[in-house]
Amino acid sequence: MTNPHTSTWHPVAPSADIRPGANIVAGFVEGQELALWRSTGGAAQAWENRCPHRSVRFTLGQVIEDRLSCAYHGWQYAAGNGQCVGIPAHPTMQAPRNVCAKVFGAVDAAGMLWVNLATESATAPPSLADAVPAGWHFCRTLALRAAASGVREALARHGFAIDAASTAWRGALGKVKTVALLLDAQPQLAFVHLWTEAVPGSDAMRTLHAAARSLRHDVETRPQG
Amino acid sequence: MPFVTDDPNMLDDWLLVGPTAALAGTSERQPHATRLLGETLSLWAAADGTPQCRLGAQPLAVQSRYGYLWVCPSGRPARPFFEFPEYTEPGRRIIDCGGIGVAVSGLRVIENFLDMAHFPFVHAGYLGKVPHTEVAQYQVKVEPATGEIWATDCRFWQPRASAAHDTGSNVRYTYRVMQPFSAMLYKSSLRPGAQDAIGLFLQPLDDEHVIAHTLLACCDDTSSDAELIAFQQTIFGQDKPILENHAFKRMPLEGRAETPTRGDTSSVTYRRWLRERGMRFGTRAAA
Repeated sequence: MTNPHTSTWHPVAPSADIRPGANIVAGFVEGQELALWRSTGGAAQAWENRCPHRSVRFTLGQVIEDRLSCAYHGWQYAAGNGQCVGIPAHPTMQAPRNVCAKVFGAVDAAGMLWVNLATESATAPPSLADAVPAGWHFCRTLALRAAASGVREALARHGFAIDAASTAWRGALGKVKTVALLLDAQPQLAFVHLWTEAVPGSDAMRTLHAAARSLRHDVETRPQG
Repeated sequence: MPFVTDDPNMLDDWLLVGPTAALAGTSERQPHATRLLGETLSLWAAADGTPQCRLGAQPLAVQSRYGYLWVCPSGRPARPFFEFPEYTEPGRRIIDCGGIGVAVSGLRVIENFLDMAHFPFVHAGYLGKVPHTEVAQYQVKVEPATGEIWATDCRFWQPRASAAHDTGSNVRYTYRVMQPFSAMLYKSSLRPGAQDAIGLFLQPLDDEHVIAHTLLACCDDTSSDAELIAFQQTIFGQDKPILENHAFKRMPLEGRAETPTRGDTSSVTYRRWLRERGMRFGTRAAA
């Protein structure tokens, strides 16, 4: 697959939320739970949030240079291919090749970390870079207890239109120009990452925050179906 | 039976329902209520002190052993009650460290209890410390007479092995699994030649919830009860967030969902032991 379709790349988190060689963030895509992290070099990682040894969540672990170390027994897994490279209980033993974290495709584009469940490739279509106009600011991520389909309908009702190339929804909330990046997290959980031309601390940004809460109320209180 | 499982491994066994001390001041009219296998039981002491148990109108078999109350849901226990000779051994202190709820299959809790490899990571500074991470080879067998699992010749370097220890030491362990939800360990104590015994007894609330009761039968002559209980609760408090973050709350007994390594002999034996008796309660079906 040389040019994977953009719709298979999901915006999971703002890139800045995941710092090189530092934190591990939990993410969700279509019911798949993820551990998101970066090696010290900055390369984005999106792994199934489960150590292959005893299924403890990787998000409890820690990043050691370009490896993720599980909190339970300290098994270490390499960035990139997810291969187990160290089992502290047997320091002189080479880790078996079949012990490997499940790795998904992860790329940074337009200030966001995007994940593809169907590939391990870290190459995304160039159109993702156009999802958010250059110079725009991150507003907030809205968590919505609703199906992604319900959020799409609500965005359309609010006059948003989808850009097919990047899957970004473009429109305005409270008359403030906004891009909404929709994430189908779980059957009844969606996230909307809001970016805007409004400047942080401005009246327009405050208006957008209020309009976003109003959008969530609209989505969550609307009867299903 | 209205219980949440029909697994005979649970119904035909003695299951812990709490400390016997909970019956103080109870009567048939004012029973103590507790949970077992998805149901609420009434427990009380008869006039002569004998424990009584009812689920709705149905009386259940109940007895007091080792300071705890045990119920056999079917009334037909498949095995005799396990031995715990240290409980009555002169010179030992018996301390109930209380029950702590854990939102995971009890099988995970027992497996964690048998595991030394997590000491330097989960109990850093207490039961282990990096770089002392190696698990040396040990022996595991199933005793033909009792059906119990015994792991012997286990050794691990510990910075602070108990409330009484203030320096590091090489600690010897023996582990023992008596029932799917009951295990003991014996470890070096500060009294020469004597080993502390620690029992872990799980009250199964349902497939994914237990109350873990810890009992000490120890040779510590210096620590107060409060210090011993605080130490055990500190250790268990370190295990709890790990136990509650298994992506699968139930334990897979088959398939390749989880990958053991060389030092997991106890865990591998425990899973095989459960598989051979057809354990379903608290397990995850193979994908």
